[in-house]
Amino acid sequence: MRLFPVACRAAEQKMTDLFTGELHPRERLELEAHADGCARCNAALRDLTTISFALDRAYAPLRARGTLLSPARVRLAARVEPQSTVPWWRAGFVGRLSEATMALGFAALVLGGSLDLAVKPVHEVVPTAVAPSIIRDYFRVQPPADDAPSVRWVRFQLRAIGAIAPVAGFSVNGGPEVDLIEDDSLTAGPR
Amino acid sequence: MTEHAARRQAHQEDRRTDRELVYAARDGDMLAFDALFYRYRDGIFRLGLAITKDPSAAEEIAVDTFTRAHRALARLEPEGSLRPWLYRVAVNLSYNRRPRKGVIISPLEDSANDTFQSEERSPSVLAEQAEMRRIVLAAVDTLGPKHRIVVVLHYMNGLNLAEIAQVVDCPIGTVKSRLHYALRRLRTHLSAHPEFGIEPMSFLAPSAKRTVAPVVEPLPGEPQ
Repeated sequence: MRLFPVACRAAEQKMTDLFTGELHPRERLELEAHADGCARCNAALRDLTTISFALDRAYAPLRARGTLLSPARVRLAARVEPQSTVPWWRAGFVGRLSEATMALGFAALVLGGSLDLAVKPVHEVVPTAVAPSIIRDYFRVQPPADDAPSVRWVRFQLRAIGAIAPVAGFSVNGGPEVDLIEDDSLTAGPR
Repeated sequence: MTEHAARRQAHQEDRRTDRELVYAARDGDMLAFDALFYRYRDGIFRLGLAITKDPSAAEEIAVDTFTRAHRALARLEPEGSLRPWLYRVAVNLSYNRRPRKGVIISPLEDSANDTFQSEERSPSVLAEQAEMRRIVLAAVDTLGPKHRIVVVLHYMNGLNLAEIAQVVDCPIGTVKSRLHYALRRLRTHLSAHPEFGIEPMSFLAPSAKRTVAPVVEPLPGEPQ
């Protein structure tokens, strides 16, 4: 339990105002007059003055320091801050509608191959050339179906029974052997 | 004078108030925001440096403080000065930033040597003053955050009690009480160092004892 006169308590509270420079001159005179007659308050005032002066000296070098920061660094930091990370399904009706529209458009582009949805009149629709096809070209360069062994066997049997004329012979010009007499109805293979 | 230095000087000599600069920056005038930056840049840097004791951390605190101010431009309504708002943000950022372990930082002593070398004092005096400064700052570090920030804001940043109250968001009486408590704690702490000449505190000094005046006058012949 601290036992000291009320005047000492009031003087001690005034000391803080003295160090912050907010003590009225008249109150300062009262404080000094009290400290002259009170050894305890005199010691407290002397010590706190020493501490206040020491604090002021301790922070003096720091008060002289500065920085060379540029406002461009603040602008950069303010610009690179990430924006709101709200997922698209929580971005409201407009965000969901735009996302769904974009998804449908992308799907139509992939599956349909074209987004030419304009409906043309019938008389303006002209047949276009058949698109080139690798598979169709492959079958086109294949030899005719009558070169198949089964067709050759049937043709041999027909010649044997005299249904068709015999083979004329080897080509004179050195070209491939050609049947001069040939029934197209028999030799024509399925195309 | 380079163009950059001339532009900076123009910002520093901007006579507009903080409120006008905030409104101009809100309308997209980045030069007004630059003027605010140059006006309070050093103070916030020193505040961060006093708390964190790390110059790089203090610069980051200054940048973060103004970044938050830039983001909050739309809702900033400074009555007079923007300094209490900026300092409050800087204080919060400084205390949220823990000092890195194992890193020895002594920015205050380095700058102190530069300051006193210009005064051409003897090495012994310089060493003694540096030691006293180290003791004082170490004693301040023993204070709690609430009391330490009041000491830093007053003795380092030069804020008065009303401005400190705005920064720490409490009444002036509370600020005065915290400062008084901090000074008493520092007096107790520094009394262990004889170079300061501070007497140990005695709560029951003879002069402080309550003296009760006699209620009844002694009778004639009665021993007093």
